[in-house]
Formats: sequence, structure tokens, C-alpha cells
Amino acid sequence: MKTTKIILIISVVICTTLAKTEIFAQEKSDIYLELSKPLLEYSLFNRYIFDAGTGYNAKINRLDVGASLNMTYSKLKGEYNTQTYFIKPRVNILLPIYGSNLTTFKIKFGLGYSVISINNKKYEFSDLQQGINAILELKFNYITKTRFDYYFIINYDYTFLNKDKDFTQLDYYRNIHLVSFGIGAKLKFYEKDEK
Amino acid sequence: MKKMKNKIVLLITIISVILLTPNCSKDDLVLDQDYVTVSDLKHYCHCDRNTSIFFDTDVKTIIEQCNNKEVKVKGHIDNEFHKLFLNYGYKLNSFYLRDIRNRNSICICLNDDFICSYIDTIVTSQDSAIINKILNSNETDMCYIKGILHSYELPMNTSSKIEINILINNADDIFFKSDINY
Repeated sequence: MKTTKIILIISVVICTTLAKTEIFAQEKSDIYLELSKPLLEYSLFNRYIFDAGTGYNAKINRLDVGASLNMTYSKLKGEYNTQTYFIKPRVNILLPIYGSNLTTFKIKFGLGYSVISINNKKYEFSDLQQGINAILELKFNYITKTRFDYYFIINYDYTFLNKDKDFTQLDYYRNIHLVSFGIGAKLKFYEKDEK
Repeated sequence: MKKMKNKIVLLITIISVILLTPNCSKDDLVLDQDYVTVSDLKHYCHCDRNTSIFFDTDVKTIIEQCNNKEVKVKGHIDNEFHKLFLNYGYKLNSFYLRDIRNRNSICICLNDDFICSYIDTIVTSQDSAIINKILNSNETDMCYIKGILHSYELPMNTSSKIEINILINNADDIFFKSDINY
């Protein structure tokens, strides 16, 4: 308990110090944390609660190239409380389409392989499904003079599951379509940091 | 600015096309071959959407796709079964089969007239045998049923819904397995 408190205090101190430092150098890379809520869904489950993700991007010319890990969670209400964990590691490319001193607008394309874990303790049921995953995301970024930037995202997330006759015999349910809206924060690293 | 607008319009179009594609896709399902899940069956028989008088001009064809067809389906016996058995005993003439992954369910009828109601009917030895099989199974067991599908239109305010029931006559057409294999 004491160690957790110390780690938490140290993290807060580091983040506040970094956040208050005004930076004017060229941005080189960033790590980010985001949270989104699925608004539209076409899938067998039809009940996703939230999506949390983290990732790293490095600037290469005008593009941001990086990797991310997202997890979408859902749970059925009532007696059939089946839980679903949707784990999505991806490789991403971000393309800027508009930029000013205060805001940037980017499109993100991502490709990966996702794993879905479904389990129900009451019925002693568990299943694992997997398939390719792609994302198309619009990212509206608010630029601050601190280490942290904040952004809004709206994305379309598509998964095509591998064939498994026991899971479903219809191609319709092998497709998982999600449209989500969310917020995120990124911690920027500059060329100066790396020298 | 105009360029950006065009890009956004293009993106919205792409997303709309991808989202609408699954609704137009035609999946084929062999109903009497492998045991299908409750969700697969409900989607195949168009029970997961409302039919519209504007877009579904031929509801009869949709109904005929499933009506009177032999089907093999798998799922879990609904929790309510035991409560209903306490009230109706062996006069119970229907129960629900569920997909525990998403709570989809189908009504299974035990008498010949396809009415899943609790009106007094003659209890046959086969009906009692089916109920006994369910009573002797574990709640966690997967239930496999072979029966005849009954598909019909349920009118609503401005639209209608397709509903399905499954008729089961013989106790040999229902069995349970402890290894859940969705």
C-alpha cells in the first residue's frame, strides 16, 4: 500500500513538472492514452461498454508511425453475465490533413490481429476467437505549449474473425463493426530530449 | 478548406458503405446439417430486425425461407424453465432456448399446434419424457434440439417483426452435452 502511494506521488510530480515546462523544440515522438465509447455496433455481442488504449508514435517526415494496444470490454447484464475482452494490438500510420498553431486534424490507419476472449463463470463457458483488425480514425488534436496534448477521436473499427463453425456458421457474425467516440491525452517527446 | 471538406465527405461515404454492407450480404445456412446457434438461426430467419412495408415488400418469401423446415439448433435451457415447471408441472408446453453469449432466445413448443402458450393441453408421454430429460440435465449443459421451424409475422405499429418457434415432438430429438462448444 505504501509503495503504491509513493509510486503515485512520484508519477504525479513527474507529470506536473513535465506538463509545466514550456517546449518550443520539434516534436519527435509521443505516447498516448485514450478512452472511447462505442456508439454504433454490428456484431454477435452488441453491447460493448468501453475501449481503452495506449500507444507510441514516432515522427517520420510528415507521418506519425507507431504501434498501439487497445482493449474493448463488455458484460451482459442480468443472470447471463457473459464477459467479453477484445484485445487489439495494431500498427498505425497517422496522416495530417489540417494543422494550425492550436489544432491539428489527422487521419489514422491501423492494421492488426485481434483476440476475443468470451467467458461465463456461471455456465463454465469460455471461448477464444481471433481475426484481423483494421481501424480508420479521425483525430482532432488540441495543441498546448506543455508536454501534454489532448484530443478527440472518432473511429471505425473493423474485425474479421477466422472461420469457426462452432462459434457461428454465418459470415455476418464473423464481421464486427464498431464506431466509437472518445478522448485521449498524449505525452510529447522532443528532439532536445534525445540529445 | 474545400479539399478538407472533400476528404471528410469521402471518408463518411467509405464508412457508410462498410457499415451497410453486412446488412445486404446473403448468408446461406443449412438448417438440418450441423447444429446451428440460436443467434445464427434468428439472423438467418430475419428475426433480429423489423420488417418495413417500404423495403420488405415480400414478407411472405422471408417467412417461407424458414417456415416448416427441419432444423438442428443448440443453446442453453432458459433459467425460467424450473420456475415455470413449478407452476405448470407436466402441462408446461413451451420453454426457451438461449444463446448465453448475447441472450438471444427461441421458443421451443412441445405440442403440435405451434402455440407456445400455457393453455391446458393433453400431456403426451413424449412431452413428459422431454420435460424429464431437461429436469435431469445440468444447468451448464449445452442442449441440442432437432425440430420443425414455424416462422410467422408479428404486426407492430408501423412495421412488423418475424418470429420463429421450434416444434419438438419426440424425446429422442433433444439431448444434452456437458462440454460447451459454441
